[in-house]
Amino acid sequence: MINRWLLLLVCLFTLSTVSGCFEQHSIENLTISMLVGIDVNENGQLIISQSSPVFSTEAKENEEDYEVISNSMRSARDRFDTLTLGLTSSNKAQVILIGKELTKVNGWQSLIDVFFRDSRNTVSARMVYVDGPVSEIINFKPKDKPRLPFHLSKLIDTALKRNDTTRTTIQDFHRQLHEKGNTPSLTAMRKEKDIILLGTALLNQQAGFVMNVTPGETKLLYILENKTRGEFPYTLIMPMNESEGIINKNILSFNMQKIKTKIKASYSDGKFKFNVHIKGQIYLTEKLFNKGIRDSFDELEQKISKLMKRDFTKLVTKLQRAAIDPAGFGMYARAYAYPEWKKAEKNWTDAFKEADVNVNVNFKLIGVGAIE
Amino acid sequence: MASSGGTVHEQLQHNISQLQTIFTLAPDLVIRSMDTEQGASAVVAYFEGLVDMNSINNDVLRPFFHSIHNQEGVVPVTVGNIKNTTKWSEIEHGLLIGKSVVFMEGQAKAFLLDTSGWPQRAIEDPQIEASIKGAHQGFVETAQLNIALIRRYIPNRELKITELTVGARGKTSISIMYLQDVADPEILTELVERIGKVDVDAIINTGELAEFVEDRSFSPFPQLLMTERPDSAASHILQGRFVIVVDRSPSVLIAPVTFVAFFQSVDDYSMRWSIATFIRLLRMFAFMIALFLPSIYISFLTFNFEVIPIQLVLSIAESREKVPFHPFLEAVMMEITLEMMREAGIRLPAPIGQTVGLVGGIIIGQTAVQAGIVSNIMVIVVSVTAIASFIIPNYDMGAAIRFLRFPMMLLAFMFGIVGLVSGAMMLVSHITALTSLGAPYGSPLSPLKFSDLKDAFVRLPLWKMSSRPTNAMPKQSKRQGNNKPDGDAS
Repeated sequence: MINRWLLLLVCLFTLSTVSGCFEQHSIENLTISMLVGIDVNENGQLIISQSSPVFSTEAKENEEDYEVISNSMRSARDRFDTLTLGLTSSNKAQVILIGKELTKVNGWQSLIDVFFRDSRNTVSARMVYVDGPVSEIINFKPKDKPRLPFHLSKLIDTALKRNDTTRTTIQDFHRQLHEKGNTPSLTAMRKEKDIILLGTALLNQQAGFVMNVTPGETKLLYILENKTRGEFPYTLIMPMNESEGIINKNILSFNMQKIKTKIKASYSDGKFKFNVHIKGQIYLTEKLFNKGIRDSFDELEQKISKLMKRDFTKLVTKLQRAAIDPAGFGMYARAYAYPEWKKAEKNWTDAFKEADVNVNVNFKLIGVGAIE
Repeated sequence: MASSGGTVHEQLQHNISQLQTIFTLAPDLVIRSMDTEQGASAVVAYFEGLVDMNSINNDVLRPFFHSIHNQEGVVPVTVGNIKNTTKWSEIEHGLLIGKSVVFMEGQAKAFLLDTSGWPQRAIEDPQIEASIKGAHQGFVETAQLNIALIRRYIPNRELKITELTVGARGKTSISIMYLQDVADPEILTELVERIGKVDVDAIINTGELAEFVEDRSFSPFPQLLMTERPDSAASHILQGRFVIVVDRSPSVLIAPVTFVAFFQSVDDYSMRWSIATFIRLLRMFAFMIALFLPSIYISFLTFNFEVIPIQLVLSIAESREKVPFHPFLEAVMMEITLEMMREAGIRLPAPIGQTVGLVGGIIIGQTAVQAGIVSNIMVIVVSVTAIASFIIPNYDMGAAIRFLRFPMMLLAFMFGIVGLVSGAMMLVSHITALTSLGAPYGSPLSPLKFSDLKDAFVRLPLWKMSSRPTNAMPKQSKRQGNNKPDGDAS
């Protein structure tokens, strides 16, 4: 019996070293920064900002926003602690806003180290590129929208369902940075009258901003990456010789389904070659031209495939010209032509620039909608 | 008492005075002398109230007056159970348990007539273990009746009863019922030995006996199943277990049992098996909720708020903002209030009982939240916990879980999720190590027995359970033949 009590005591003692009674913070005593912004101001100083909910029912505003000039995220937290009522904690950060000016600073990506090193921090916050100053978004308080962090995360998550934008969590970003076979991409956002999503911001291997692609191009990018979850609505302007006034009567919209992308890579004549095969089904959702479909079913199918091929090729050329590889062609190069990849690995984007990419699109028209 | 050891005398008068010396200050002792036409005389003695007056008047007194022959060794009564004895100790005990004794002139022995008819309750619906489809007869306070109730389910000569008496003063008769060709004799020996060792004044209720014979007194879990349902007792006997009937107590003990047996009810077997399975899983889930929910609340709110979805974090924090107490204090306060309410509800007479519900609704409700004493979420946590703890069909197990909630809350308060997990591990290892009359309590999970899992957390169709559960180590493991109905194509 004595032994058992002794054992219990030892167990309890071991427990007490595991997780401190001292690390207890009751939830209402925390300042939960749900939105973290990192930017550079006009004077070239690093600005860290945060937005956190206020729980007190006596306060008029339900959100508090702070901006501090600091050198790092952790030192900024110390400054926030002197400002806010509770203990600042970014364990539940929803969105990390990266300012346009920050992406011009070399090596800015080292700032997010704290999210990985401090294990209490989250790695699932969404990273967003802001086309403009971050403070515009942090201080934005629309009357007809929920709290800003929810507003932003909902904006991203629902757009993602139709593949209009990318969702890159901090962890994804970390992987994309360290994977040599691709370049990072982030959600892109801008504040105009409202906050709007711009599609996807593409960065180079050094995390410098290169360009934005539209929501339409984002879908194509997803297909190239073989990430074909969710819906893929797409609109094409068909060469139907109809009038192009206020209403462009050449428009055809459809949903792409069951898309399968196969990429094969090879190396010959001093450059990489990629053969991309995209298969899928198409279901029409909108048609403005008058020409009937029934007689020209196969013809239409081929036309759509051809136009899609044009769009894909255009996008790939655009990426090659900008020397970025967000679709991850490099990973296929590594899989299919390892010796050559090994040589080109260090400057993959340069090698990608020279590569031949041949896209083949084969869509099947499976439905024309409920009316003729 | 010097006289207890002696034997019955031939002279009637001697016997009467002996009786009067044994039972002094016992005004309810009736000594009735009878002189018949033949001149022979006899005496009937009994305790008023412990005997059936009808039986005394019609079956003893009347035949005596009409046809007494005073034949050696024959007593002219029309009573079923007659026993002759010469020992005063037996006479004394017989009288005290409601028998009447007849002495006859010139005979050095006494006749013990079973005329017992003490006050007893009619057989009613079981109060605690109500059932929807099961029988509506519950045990009563008379062992003979309880035994009869069980025998009605198993009219088989292999159903044996081992009788024991416990208590120096109470002399409670204990009957162990079992199927001789099924039940394990070693467990019986163990049980008889344990009951034999009990040296107390009296056993007033079954629970007292359970505490003297169970394996581990310090465990929070009941190791013997107490039931007031004859059908449940009979079903356990058929599975090769032992049923201990304690006289004067309306519930019987079943041993050896397993942990999962406390989560089963007789209704499970009369419902469709798929539904019974769902309900059993629901009970296991409720067990987890009742045990862990308040501590999960505490640990999440104080250590690991990251695991709560963000919208919920906001609403919890908003309602917690007004509460001046630490989440642990808040939870303990509410749980204790709930326990007080429950206890009050049990002891209060029915007409006042409603008041408890009314008042309770105020404490565990919106009013408490508005007063800023507790948060919304805490009220929900407490209510869900309460409901979950009431789902567990066995009262003792439910009580054990309600009690264990508090140490769990303490662990969660001190060590967060780590403490919670350690607590759960301690419980699991305790249940694994626990035995019931030497048989493993954690069966069929530890030791793992796949065939027994058919009737543990789920209830498969009855025709699949062709063997008895192994935990009671039955001698005959085959329970039934192939009963699979032809209906299904497979």
